Amino acid sequence: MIAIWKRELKSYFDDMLGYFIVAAFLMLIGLFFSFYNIEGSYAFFAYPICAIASFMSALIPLLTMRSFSEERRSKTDQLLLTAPISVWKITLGKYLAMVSVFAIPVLISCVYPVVIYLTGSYAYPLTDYTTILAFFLVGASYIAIGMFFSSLTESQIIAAILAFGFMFLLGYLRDLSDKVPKEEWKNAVILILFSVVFFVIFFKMTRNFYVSFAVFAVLCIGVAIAYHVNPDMFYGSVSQIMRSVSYGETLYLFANNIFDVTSIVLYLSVSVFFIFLTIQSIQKRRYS
Amino acid sequence: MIEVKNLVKRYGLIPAVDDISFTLQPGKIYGFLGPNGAGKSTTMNIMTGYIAATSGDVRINEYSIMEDPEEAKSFIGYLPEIPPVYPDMTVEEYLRFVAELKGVKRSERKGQVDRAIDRTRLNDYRRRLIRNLSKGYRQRVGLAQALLGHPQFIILDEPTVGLDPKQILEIRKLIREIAISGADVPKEERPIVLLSSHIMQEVSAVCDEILIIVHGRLIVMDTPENLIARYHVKDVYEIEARCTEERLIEVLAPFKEMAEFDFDSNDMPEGISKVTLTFPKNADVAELLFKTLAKDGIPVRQLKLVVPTLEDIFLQLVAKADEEFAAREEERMKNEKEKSGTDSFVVTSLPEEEAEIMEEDETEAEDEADEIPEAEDADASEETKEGGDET
Repeated sequence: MIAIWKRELKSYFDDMLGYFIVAAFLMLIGLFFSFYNIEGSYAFFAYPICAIASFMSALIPLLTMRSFSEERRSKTDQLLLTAPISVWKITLGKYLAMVSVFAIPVLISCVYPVVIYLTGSYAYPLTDYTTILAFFLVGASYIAIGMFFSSLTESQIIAAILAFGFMFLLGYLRDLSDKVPKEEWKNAVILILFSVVFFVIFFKMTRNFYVSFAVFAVLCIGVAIAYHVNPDMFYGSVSQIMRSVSYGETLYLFANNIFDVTSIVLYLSVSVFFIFLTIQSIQKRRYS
Repeated sequence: MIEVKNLVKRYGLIPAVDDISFTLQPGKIYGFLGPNGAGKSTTMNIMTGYIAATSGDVRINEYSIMEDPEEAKSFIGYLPEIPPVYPDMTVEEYLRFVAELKGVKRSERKGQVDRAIDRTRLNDYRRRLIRNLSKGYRQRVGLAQALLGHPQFIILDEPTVGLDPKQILEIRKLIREIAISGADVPKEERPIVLLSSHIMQEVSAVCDEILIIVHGRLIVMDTPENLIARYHVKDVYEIEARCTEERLIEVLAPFKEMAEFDFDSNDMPEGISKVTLTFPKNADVAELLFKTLAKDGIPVRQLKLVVPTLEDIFLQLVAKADEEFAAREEERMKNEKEKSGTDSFVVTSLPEEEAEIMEEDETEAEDEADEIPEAEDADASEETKEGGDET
């Protein structure tokens, strides 16, 4: 695992990509620091951090796009998968290497609260540092998502576009959630439509019509019964779901001086979930 | 010892490897021979744990590649068809990385890397970026990589493809060196080398035993000598003489009982006749033939005993296997037609195995919302059809 971590990290800095990612984040941090904190005289470094978070969906896919795609294209995955090392160690080694690259600008950004503390009249280092921590964890979960998309395809470009699209959607679901109708019955219908989509995906993956249909039926009946028993719980439920899926936005909680443990757990579980999916997608390919 | 048991790999319904079983003994070089697309690489990829088999098992020193992959893989050094090298690393960096990946102890790493570099004669290239190496040298780096960690089983997929003749000879010599290098260790720990090729001559030059696989089936496993002995069932003599064909028949009349005659003088110069005589094995009639012809004053240009080459045997076996495969395919198509035509549905071994893969997929599937290889789509419709028949 350490061998893979070392190799990956070195390869990021053997060409431009690693430097580019670090430089881009540092530039953004510097830029927003001068907007908010120097020109706007804001005492919170947490705000520039939150502003930068929306750029992650553009930068993180660049970092993750080649992780598995390139190995597959150049057939070097044969070396890794035939070495006496398990797939989860390979995946974790790669993941940690990417997180390490991302950690460099995050660590450097830790200097800014000190600057505010030393030169400003007010400073809130605790809020700033918890926000930086949350920012780092959100980034780590995005890296897991990007890595998963990279494991799906041989093409780096497709991996990057898929990851970007997915993260972009995650970020904007919160804004979109206001546009979704709130009425109970419409929400129920939308949920049924979701089950249809789920059914199609499930069927595609398992190739088993009966099981997929059973799952679909259970979902539909569940919605129907719940609607019959208590229609009130459907009020605005879809926009609620959309808002909770758009988890990156919860960074603002930290900036508002709330240490939200739920969000921390969520960030970590998204990382773990997508690392798991990556492992599964690699294993699946060995079987098909 | 490597034991391959009833290995099957299907892509959709098409078998790439079709029930292959064999056992490889320590201290020998084995050659995997077959035309392109016969399933050599697929078998090797399964043996090294790169892809999973549809059914069957591979045991390496009693460790199953399916159940204890890490232990099993630790005995293997594998050079795939395309050397798995990272172009952005130098030769030495790359080999260090592989040594670490294979869990070679820190203290031994440098020594092993140096030795692998020495053996593959890469000393002048150790600080070069792999990106800048030619195909032949990349192949050597790939081979050096396979040698790291003292693997007991070295599996080489077409190690000489794309090399120049001198490099081919060097690589062959190297492969033999590897096999001999274990002469001082106990027999059961000696290295096994398995290499694949579609060139008979290469396999017979290097290997102790030959495994011929065609259309995913192992059709022969034997030493080159035994193969020749087994397929050398008739003595064939070729005679070229200066006379007419009629005259030859007349003179050779005493052999008519023993041999089959076959005239073919078309490509011969004016006035020369050529005849092929097929005798039973070990007839030993060369001198007798010569005397007979000399007695009648017929000038003989050539008289030779034609022994079948391994190449001939190989081509003969492939042609036979091709026919069998075509027959099997026809049978399968016919069965399928019958199957879709009637309601009563005979369960062959096929759907069971399919169901097994399906189950494995199911557990993983919930999580993967994307990318279904096309082959599976074909399966999907197949699967529902079969399911429909059962109910």
